[in-house]
Order: sequence, then structure tokens, then C-alpha cells
Amino acid sequence: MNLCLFYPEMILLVSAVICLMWPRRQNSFFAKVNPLFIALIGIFISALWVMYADGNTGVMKALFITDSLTFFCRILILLCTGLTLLNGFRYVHQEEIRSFCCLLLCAALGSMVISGTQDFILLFIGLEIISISLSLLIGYQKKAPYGSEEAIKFFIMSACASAIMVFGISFIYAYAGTTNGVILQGIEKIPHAPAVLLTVGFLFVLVGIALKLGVVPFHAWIPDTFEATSPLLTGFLSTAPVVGIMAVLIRMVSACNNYLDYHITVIVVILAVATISFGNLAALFQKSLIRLLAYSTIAHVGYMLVGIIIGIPRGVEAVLVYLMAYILMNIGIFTMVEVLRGKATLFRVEDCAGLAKRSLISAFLFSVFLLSLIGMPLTAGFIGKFYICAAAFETHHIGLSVAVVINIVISAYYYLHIVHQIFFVSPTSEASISIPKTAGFTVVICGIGILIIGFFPELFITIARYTVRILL
Amino acid sequence: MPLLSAIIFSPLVGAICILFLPQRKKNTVRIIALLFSALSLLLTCGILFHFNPDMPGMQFVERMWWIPSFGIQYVVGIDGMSMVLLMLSAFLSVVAVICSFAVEERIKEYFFFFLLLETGLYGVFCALDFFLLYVFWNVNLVTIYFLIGIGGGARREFAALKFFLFAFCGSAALLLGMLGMYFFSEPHTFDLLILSQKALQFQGLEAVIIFCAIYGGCAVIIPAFPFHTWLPLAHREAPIAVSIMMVGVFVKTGIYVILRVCYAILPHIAQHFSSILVILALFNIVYGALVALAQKNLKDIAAYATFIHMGYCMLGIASLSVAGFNGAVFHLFNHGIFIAAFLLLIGILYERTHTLRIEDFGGIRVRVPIIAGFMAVVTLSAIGMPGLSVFISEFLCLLGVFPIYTFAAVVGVLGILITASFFLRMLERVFWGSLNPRWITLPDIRVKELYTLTPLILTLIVLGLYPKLILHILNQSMVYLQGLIR
Repeated sequence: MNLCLFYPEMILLVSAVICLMWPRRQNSFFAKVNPLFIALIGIFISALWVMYADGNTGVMKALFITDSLTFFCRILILLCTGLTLLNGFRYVHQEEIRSFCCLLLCAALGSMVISGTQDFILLFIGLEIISISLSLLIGYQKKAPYGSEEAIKFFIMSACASAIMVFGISFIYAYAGTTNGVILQGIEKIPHAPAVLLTVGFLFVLVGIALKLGVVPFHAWIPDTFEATSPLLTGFLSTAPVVGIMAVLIRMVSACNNYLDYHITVIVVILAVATISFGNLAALFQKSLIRLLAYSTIAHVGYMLVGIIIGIPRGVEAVLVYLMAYILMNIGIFTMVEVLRGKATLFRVEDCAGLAKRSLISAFLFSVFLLSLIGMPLTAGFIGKFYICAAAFETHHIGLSVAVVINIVISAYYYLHIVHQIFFVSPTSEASISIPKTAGFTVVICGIGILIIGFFPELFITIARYTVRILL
Repeated sequence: MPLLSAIIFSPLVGAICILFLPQRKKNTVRIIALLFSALSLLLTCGILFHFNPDMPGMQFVERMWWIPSFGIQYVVGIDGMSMVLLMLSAFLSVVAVICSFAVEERIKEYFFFFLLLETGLYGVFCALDFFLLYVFWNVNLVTIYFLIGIGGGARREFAALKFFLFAFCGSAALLLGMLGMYFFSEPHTFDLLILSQKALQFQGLEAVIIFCAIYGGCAVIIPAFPFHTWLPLAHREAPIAVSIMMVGVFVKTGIYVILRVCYAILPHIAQHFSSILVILALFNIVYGALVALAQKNLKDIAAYATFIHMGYCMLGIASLSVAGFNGAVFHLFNHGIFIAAFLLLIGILYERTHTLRIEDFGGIRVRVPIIAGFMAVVTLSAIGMPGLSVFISEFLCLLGVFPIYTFAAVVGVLGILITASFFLRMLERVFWGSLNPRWITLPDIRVKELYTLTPLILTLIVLGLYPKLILHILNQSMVYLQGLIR
């Protein structure tokens, strides 16, 4: 049993347990050290292991594979988690810190597991780890008004998603006789098993995944969840699980290109276009800033779905590049919202008013994120969207490309509305904005990362291409 | 010595310097902005001396790999057409920066975006890679949005938003055309020069769609009917200096990109569609002239004058003749000069009277004879009076189109008549007649206002008498372009 493949995840697990059991005794050594530091150290060691341990690629009994895609996703997930933990220094209450760290690390662990999984059972386990950790995380703040309600909603939704997915897995098991090695290798069927079993099973698994991602029409939980939980968690919630699930979709697509039923492709195309369009159109009418960003997240997931449809190799490269841009944009902007929100619970777009007069540097960073979300050249968001459109053109999916471009224009309207509030409207409150050091560090890293990817995308495009080339 | 990159990026360096200055040092910000703009102007003059007008290809070319995965290079270079527009940009940038000294609020942000706009404009005129051109094009959009929003009038937010959304739609169409061009070329490339050499590989429906996409994208900026509705609003709400940059330089990028991309790379499609393009140009002229007759605000007159004159440029390029091309690009230059002078004069009047409505004025010639004199020169120039530069360029445009579409030339001349009528009516109502008692104490022009105005007026007159100065630079590249179309 080649358990050493799982060491990065196990390091995270050990850190999670240590954080959870960090003693509360006052006046001791333990009171001086914040469990967040332990969690950060855990992430750091895990990342080091991922990058430098030898014998790193291998397959564990067709259950788990550590290839280039797993490497890529692990690094991205660890980055997301690290940035969210940095935010936690200021914004997580002292009593709740242990559970926060433990659950965050567990959710990261689950995401890393599904990014390398080869087997449907392990996929299910990983998704359950993510769901349970996240539903607890959504409700961890005792004082949040809708926290517990939303946690229960999210838990029930994930349970439904998992149930549907297990149903689909059972069909695939009936077709193939095994759940092992199904995702990457070709499926060899049991003699006399009808092909419709595979199609139906696949469809149910797809629905389960769509529910987790927030694809239209399974998106209804996203705006409510994003609004009820604290923005720094929203940053994590919208990025780390999405990275893992995209890895799963990539593996499915690369395996199933040959015998995927034509109808499933049509269904996914419709879902993708619906997701992008609905996400953007709904965001046009939102008054609450967080709900607006939630709908825009739905739209971004739709863009990545377009990349999945396009397939290997260009579409998958596009998805990887877009993921890199997406996590920086989302974590950055949700951290900014957390900083600006202060004590208020409802954050309307008008509450950003006059940010440029209150703090020019916050306004500047905020607009970098917004311009990147629109897809302005010289930002990471443009490189992602450009790659997706280019991939669509190359494989003659010109209609998809046109749909993406039209939606970019629609999305410009509501992002500009926020920019307009920041720069051109007088401030409603004169309170000065102070960005705490750690959250500021996160925001600056995301901002600089976005600009670097925008100005010098070559390195990142090469990383994505190399990952996909090795994957094949 | 990378002169072109120095011209393009020196305003950017200035912008970054301004970002680090404290808010209260207003004069330092102004001086830095002027310094870096003047630096670009000086370097442009330097390039002008070393520019060889008899060589048809690109000069001062600089190349550097940027995104090898897509074959995108940072490659800049100029030929005659770019040289002329680069000179226009540099000249008007300095004029507009000096005019911006009147801005009192939010100076740091204003000049930051202003210098970024200059970089974007220089970049568009020098870029020889489609992706690079697209990047600079979008920089223009964002900076003008912020500039209108920061310094503008009462409805500035709506004006800025309308401008950005219209221009962004155009930019989206341009993106689609750009990707189409990349993927339908063998081998895939964004390099405009290579695409131009292998122009014949684009055939059939795809080429037509690419042409329409790029033309449509640029049509928003030209501004062509019916995508022009952003212009009057944005023009009215923008501060004067931003208006100068917007109608003086920014709208020129539309026609420039059409020439550089559509005509150089898809000449057979351009030939195919030339009659439709002529009709679109006539829409500009006729519709613009008729609407301008109803305008009561001086700034709106400037906006519609731009609209009409860009119609003449469109006519010139649709004619697909050397005379037409020469006339069109020369007209871009001349229009920039005279509209800048017009806007400066409007700014001077506004600063003294705080109104721009024509009916509020009357007979102020007796109080401000020098301003009246300058305004008369500008008006005659807008009409196309022989002896001033605009006549030469308008004449060349009509000369180009006359043999092929005589009807269009006739309509064009009628357009001149209507333009003459509303311009002269404006001049008469504002400056002649009995003096409106409100303006009994109106002061005449001050010396510091003369600094920017005089070079512009002189240029109009000198080029009217000796247009060879510009046409000489322009001619070879236009002959080469026309040769591609045959």
C-alpha cells in the first residue's frame, strides 16, 4: 500500500487534530500560540512535501493517482487555505478558532483527495468530507443571524447531492462491475450490460457534481450560503472545492471523450450557457454586494464548464489557467468585502460608496479585482477568458465563444456599478478604513498575483500546458 | 535605442511617479504630468527627423517575445500613417495637459489616468501585433471611463457608463474578430505584418464575418452611425481637456485600426463591401449635419462636427484610392487640430461665462476680438475654406470618391454646405450682433491661454498653404496600402 502518496493529506489531518485539541489553559505556553499558526505550519509542510518529496508520482491500487493535475490542484488548494487562514487572524473570534482551523483543514483535505481520485468511492468519500466540514464551517459563528439555518440548508443540500451521486455510481457499477479505475481508464463493461446504464449513471453523477458546483439550475443554495456566512469563508467556499471538483470533471472528460454519449455533451453545453447567462443576468439586479458576487461566481463556474466541454487539450488548459485567475480574484474580493463590512451584516453595493476618498489604496485594490472579474486586458481574468475563447475557436465551438463574449459585456455593467460607487459617489460614512495587516497581506498578494498573471502570462500558460501534456 | 517604447511608456512612468506623490502637492503633480508628456513630444519630434518618408515599410521596429505560447510578441513600429497620428497624439497630449491645469479637484487621480490614456493612445498607434493593439485599445476605454467620471459634469456617471458599455461591446466584437483572424491564418499568428502578407488565405464567409466584426468594433469608436450615441453625451459631460483627447485623438484610433487591420489584411473583402461602406459614411455626413442644425450648445456642436468630419474620413477610406486614403488620414490630423482649437476656445469662454448655450451669448466680438478672430479661423477651417488645412483633406477625400461613386461626392459637398450653415450661424449668434448686456465686462484672451492656442491655429494655416509637410510623410504608406487592395 503506497500510503506515502497520501502524506500531504495526512499532514493536514494531523495539523487539524492538533488545532482542534489545542489546550485552552490560560497562562501557559499554549495560550500564547494561536492555533492558526499551527494550521499555517501544517499547510506549509504539506506544500513542501507536495513540491519536493521524491517518488511523487504513482498510483495507489488504481484508487488515487498523484500526477501533474493532482500536483497543480494541491498547490492551488493549499494556497487558498493558507490565504483564508491568514484572514482568520483578525476575523475569527478567539473561542471559535480551534474549530475554524480544524474544519478548514479538513475541507482542504477533502478537496485534495478528490483532485487525485481515480475511483468513484473515493470521490464520494472526499466530497462527503468537504460537505460535512463546510456545513459545520458555515454555521460556526455563533452570533451570525442566519448561520445555523444556512448550515442546515447546506447540509441537506449536500446530502441530496451525495445521494443522487451514489445512485449514479451504482448504475455505473452495474455497467462496469467495478468502481475502481473507472475515472481515468476506459470502462470495460460486463457482457450484455446495456449502454443506457452508463449514460444514466453518468447523468446522475453529473447532477450531483452540478449541485456541488452551483451550476444552473442547481444553483439556488449559492447566494443564500454566501450571504449567510462570513466573507472570508465565502472566499474559501467558492474556490477550494471548485478546484477539486474541476479536477474530477477534467479527469472524467479526458477519460470519456471517446464514448461519451452525444446527448450528454448537448446537456452540458446547455447547462454551461444557462449558467453563464443566468449568473450574469441575475447579478444585474442585485442590491446586496455579496449576492451580486455570488451570482458572478456562478457565472465564472459556467465559464470553466465551457472549458470542460471543449475538452482536451486546449479546453482543459483553459480551465487550469482560469482556475489560477479565479482563486486569486475570488479570495481577494471576498477578503476586501470582509474588511469593508466591519460590523454590519448586510452589505449593499451603496455601502462601498466613496471608497476612493476614504482609502485610496483599498479603492485601487478593489478595482484591480473588479477589472479582473470583468476581464480587462492586463489582468488575470482576461487571460482566463481569452484562453477559453481561443480554445473554443480552435475546436470550432464558435457559438460558445460568442456566448462567452456577450456575457462578458453584460457582466461589465454590474461590476462597473460597483466601481462607480467606489470612485464617483461621495462617501456615506466618514469612518476611515483600516486594513488589518494579515488581511492586507492576503489582498495584496492576490492583487499583485492578478497583475503578474495579466502582464506576464507566459509562465502560467506554460504551467497549464505542461500539466495537461503530462496528463495525457 | 528603443525610441518608440520610450515614447509609449514615458507617460506610464510619469503616472507611476504621480501615484507616489502626496495628495496635497498639486503643482508637483501638474509639472510631472507636463514633463513626461513633453518628453514624449520631444522624442516624437526626434523620430520625425529620422523618419524616412520614401520607404513604404515599417520603421523603428522593436521586437520582443511576450507570450510565445500564442505567438504574441511585443512588436512596435511606425509607417507614414502611424507617424502622422503619433505626432497628433503627442501634440494634443501636451495641449490637453496644459489645459488640464485648471482642474482643481482630485488632481492625482485625474493626471494618473490622463497619463495612462496617453500611453494607451501611443500604444495603439505603434502596435504591430493584434493582441498588443487590443490591450492598448482597452486601456484607452478604462482610462477614459475614469476620466469622465472623475472630472465631468452633472450627468457624468451615466455618460461614462454609456461610453464604456458601447466601447466595450465594440471591444468584444474586436476580440472575436481577432481570434477569428488568429485561428483562420496558417500558421496561427497575431502579427499584423505577417497577416497582411498572407492576406489571400482569408476567403469566404469566415473572412466576411471577421471583417464585419472588426469593422463593427471600430465603428463604435469612429463614431459611425448608428453606434455614435455615446459621443454627444460623453463629450458634453467630460472636462475640456478630456474632450480634447477624446475627439482629438481617441476617435482616430477607430479609423486607424480599420486601415491597419481590415484594409491591410482583408483587402478583397473591403473591395467587395466598398459601396456599403460609402453609404455608411454618407449616413454620418447627412444625419450628422441635419442633427447638428438643431444643436443649441457649443459643446454639442463640437461633438456633431466630429461626427460629420469622421464621415468624410470614412468616405475617403471607402473610396479605396490613394487620394482617398491620403485625404482620410490627413483629415484625421487636421480634424484633431481644429477641434482641439475649438474646444480650447470653448473652454476659455466657459471659464469666463459659465455657460455654453449659444443663446446666452451675443455680440461679444466687441469685448473679445482676439477670441472672435481665432474662432473665425476655426470655423472657416471646420467648413473647409480653401487656405486652411481642412480644405485640402476634405478635397482629397471627395476627389478619391468622385470617380467611383459620384453621387456620394455630391452628397458630401451638400454636407459641407449644411456644416457651413450651422457653424456660421453659431459664429454669428455668439460673436456678432448686438452685445448681450451680461457680458459687458468680459475680459479678452490672456497670454497663458495663447500658449496652447497659437500653435494650433498656426498649424491650420501653415498646413493649408503647404500641406506637403504632412502629405509627404503619409504618401508612401498610403500608396503601399492601396497597392495591397489591387
